[in-house]
Amino acid sequence: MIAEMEHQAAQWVALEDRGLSTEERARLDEWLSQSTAHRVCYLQMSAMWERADKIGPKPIADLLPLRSTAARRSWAAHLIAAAMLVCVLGAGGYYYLTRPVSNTYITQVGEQRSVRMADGTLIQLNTDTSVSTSVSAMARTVTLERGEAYFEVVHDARRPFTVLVGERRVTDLGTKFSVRRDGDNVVVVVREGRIALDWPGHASATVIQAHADDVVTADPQHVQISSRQPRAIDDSLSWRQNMLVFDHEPLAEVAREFNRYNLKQVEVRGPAQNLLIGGHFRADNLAVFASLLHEGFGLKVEDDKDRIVVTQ
Amino acid sequence: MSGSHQELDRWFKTEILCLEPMLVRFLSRHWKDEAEIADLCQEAYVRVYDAALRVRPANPKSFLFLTMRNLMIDRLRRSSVFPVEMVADLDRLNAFDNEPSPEQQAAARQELRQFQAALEKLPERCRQVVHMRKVLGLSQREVAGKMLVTEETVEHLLAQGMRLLNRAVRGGGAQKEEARPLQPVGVGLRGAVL
Repeated sequence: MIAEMEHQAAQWVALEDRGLSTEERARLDEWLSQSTAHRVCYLQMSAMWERADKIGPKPIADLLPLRSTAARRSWAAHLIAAAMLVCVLGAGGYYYLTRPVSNTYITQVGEQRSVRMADGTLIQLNTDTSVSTSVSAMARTVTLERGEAYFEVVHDARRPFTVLVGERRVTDLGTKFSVRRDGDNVVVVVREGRIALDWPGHASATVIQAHADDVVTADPQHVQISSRQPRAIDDSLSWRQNMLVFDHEPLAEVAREFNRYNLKQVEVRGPAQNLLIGGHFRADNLAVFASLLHEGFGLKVEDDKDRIVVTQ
Repeated sequence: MSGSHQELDRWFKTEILCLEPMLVRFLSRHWKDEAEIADLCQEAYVRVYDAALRVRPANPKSFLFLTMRNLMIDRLRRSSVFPVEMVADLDRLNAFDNEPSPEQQAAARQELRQFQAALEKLPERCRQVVHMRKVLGLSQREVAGKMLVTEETVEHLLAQGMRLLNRAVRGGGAQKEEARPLQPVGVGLRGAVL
């Protein structure tokens, strides 16, 4: 029986290694909650697979055990160990030993996916998003190339966690936060803890620190920080449950949001663009949204094959 | 991981499962049947996890080894052979603190060697996938591209590699499906077993 469980656990860990969709994660959670035996089997397989990183290129510090006590060793000890190993392996070996481990994760339009990094950090990718991660013994760096991602970062004093977005950089100071890239604009929503936002390459720019319930918006010239109600913060993160929440926002903006999640695009024309909309919507349910606009607001809704046109 | 278990699962991995190399090393010295090591570990982990659900152990290392000790005693009791030497040996395990011991470092190095040996023995395509993923650090997508196979195939081969590596570092050898009858311990092996 343990062999059968190991089979399933290995399949899950292999899937998670690639990145789980929201649906897959829900199925995994379901399997895990069936018994402690399942959960422990999966955790053990996952832990073993992480330890198997030892067979790969690894900076010296990680070959020494383990946990936070390693940080207390002196730098001299690290350097001596490194020097000894370099002598043994030669220059080529040293290159491999310091090479960080990288990964890229991508979601299509309407797709969401969550990924757990080797250090336990959770990344949830929203629709149409591309994220690449690079982890070494010195740093954990995520680049948000497009889209939006939510992070729950596992604290590791030895390795700062940063998110690069365009020219800006978000540094985790012990947090849960999301980062969204919209062309050249960046929005950071801080759910818990603190982050710092700075502008590497622009030495004179100030560093902004934001904490829980703050939203930071940056365009190429300016940075702005504002404090929101916790409820509003939750609303901005409702995409994680596949919901979109609007509170008195112009229909043009609402349509633009929906369009991120659906290949079928909503076009709003004329004065209807300024109509104020509020409510909770499933991101992938255009039919309901369209019918609300028609029944609830009396708008004209034309459903083409590949788009929906809304007018007064 | 589900929200309510997330933190406990994380604790379990970083405080308990990280001790696996040491635990396995201990078992391979003190338990006669190597094929049962994985099973013993699994049962100890379940006990520790369930206990931690109620109260988080202050000293994970002590708690894990004490749990294992009790588990081994239970099994030996059921086999109606219970040599006195075992209890004394296990009592030596109580001297723990939270520093990674030389024992832990030795176990980590041993596990690395076991991984490396096992990697070489993997079935060829499986070995390639594990090598590209772990040694070269390529993503699953990149591995699929290089090997000209689907991503599903990469997943499948990776899962297979994981199972085989797991077997290798937890006692190795062929695993039996049914439990083997316990062999009497202490016979002709005084001082070496429990």
